[in-house]
Amino acid sequence: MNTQKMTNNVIKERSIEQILEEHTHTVGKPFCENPKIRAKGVDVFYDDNQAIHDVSLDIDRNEVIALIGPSGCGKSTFLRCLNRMNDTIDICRVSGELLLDSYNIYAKNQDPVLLRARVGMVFQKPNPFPKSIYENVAYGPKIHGLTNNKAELDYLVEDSLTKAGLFNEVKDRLDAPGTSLSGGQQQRLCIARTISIQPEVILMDEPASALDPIATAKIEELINDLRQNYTIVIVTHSMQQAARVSQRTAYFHLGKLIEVGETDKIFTNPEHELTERYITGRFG
Amino acid sequence: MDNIEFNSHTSNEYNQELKDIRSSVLNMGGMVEKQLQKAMQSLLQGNIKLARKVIKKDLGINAMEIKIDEECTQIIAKRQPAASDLRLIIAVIKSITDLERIGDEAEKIAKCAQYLISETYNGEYYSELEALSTLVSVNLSKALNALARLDAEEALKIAINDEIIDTEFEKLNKEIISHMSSNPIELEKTVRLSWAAKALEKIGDHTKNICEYVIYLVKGKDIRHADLNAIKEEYF
Repeated sequence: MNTQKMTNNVIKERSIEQILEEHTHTVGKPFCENPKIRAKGVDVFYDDNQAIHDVSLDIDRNEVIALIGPSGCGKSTFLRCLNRMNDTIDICRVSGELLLDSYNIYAKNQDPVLLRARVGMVFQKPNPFPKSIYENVAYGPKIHGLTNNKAELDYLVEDSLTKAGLFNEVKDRLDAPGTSLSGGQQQRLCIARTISIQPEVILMDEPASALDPIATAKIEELINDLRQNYTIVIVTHSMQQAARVSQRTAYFHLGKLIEVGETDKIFTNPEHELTERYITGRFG
Repeated sequence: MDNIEFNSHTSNEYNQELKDIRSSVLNMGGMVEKQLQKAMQSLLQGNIKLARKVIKKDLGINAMEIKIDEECTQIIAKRQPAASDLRLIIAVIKSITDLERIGDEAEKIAKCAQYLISETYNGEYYSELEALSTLVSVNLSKALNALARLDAEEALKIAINDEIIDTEFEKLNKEIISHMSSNPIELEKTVRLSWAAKALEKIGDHTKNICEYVIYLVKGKDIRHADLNAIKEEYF
């Protein structure tokens, strides 16, 4: 019985490797006209290990694109290239072309801090500053000098909290510590903090994986609302979440971008065998 | 994505659930095939006992439809199937509705048989009816094979074949109608004959539907209400 199982697994593994070897280009529709972000031939190395292989992908304006794939497939690494979060890792090297509008993200004279004001990020675990709810949201606009006086700042804080769907829940306790909120509220606070500096793109790395189903539903609802004004790239392990919130889905496997397509199609009739295997739970 | 394997999920329990559902559908298909065969046999051989058996057995088919539906609901709730798994569940839910209706049509034939036997009908047009039922049975059996083997190409051929059944039915029905007008005394009996022929034609339609679900399952293309010959050119 055990031998039989092991043999089957070996056969399965081999065939996936074979499929990957034969894989030469991303299937589906990785490109679009006038994208917000364009990645062309992006490679990422951690020392000598290549984590991302020749990824080319356009991210359209005002779309939610979901990056999915098994652990270690490079989806988070790719996400972190989009606002140079990988710069914080010494051994990480990025090559290829990454454009925000027509602007080179990795240009030598590019200030990563200013870039990250345009391309904001929300992380897996809510990470509010150890400050009040108000200060969490006001901090970014203050250091970027986005407002001229207290009234403007107050308005911006309220507006950001409202857009993040949190204002009504916290309006009576803006001075309370951000960390006093529930997990779901903290995550929405982090989203408000991201929006407050008026970014163009929001990157989300598993934004709801530490939250309960109701808090998750609120975040998903929020993502849908935010799409009106922002371009959103979300990494998620939840296939249902990708299916619910995104218009396009990109499937990564072992550092390669295997398939990109309309979410409706990816989850009912994907083109690539690996995508099919992953979304139907066939990796063992 | 023509190579679909339903037994390679990480979860063995899920593999088993999908396997069970597939075998339940094929079981139901087998039962329905037998119902058709026996209903025709009761008519052609004047076997009223067999006709009654067919009518009674239809309850079992109805129960099977409900059971498979429930299993599909459970899989959707527990597994949130995607891609080919999702298409399998959708194809199953739809196929069993058609199978259940084929069962109903077989029951109708058995009821016609009951009447015709009790009225000692002389058996005129029985051979034509038998020829039509052979076409229908062969198509149904092939469609169930295509479903078992996930053979979209064969399914398309069978679906296209339904035209032959429709033509043969029209031909037979015209003859029956002209018999009605020339033998008004036998009207009630010939009406039953026409009903039986219509039931066979409907079974043909349900068979065609099942073929369309097989193509949806395998190719991911919804080909209902489309020109099948154009589909053949495009996808096969």
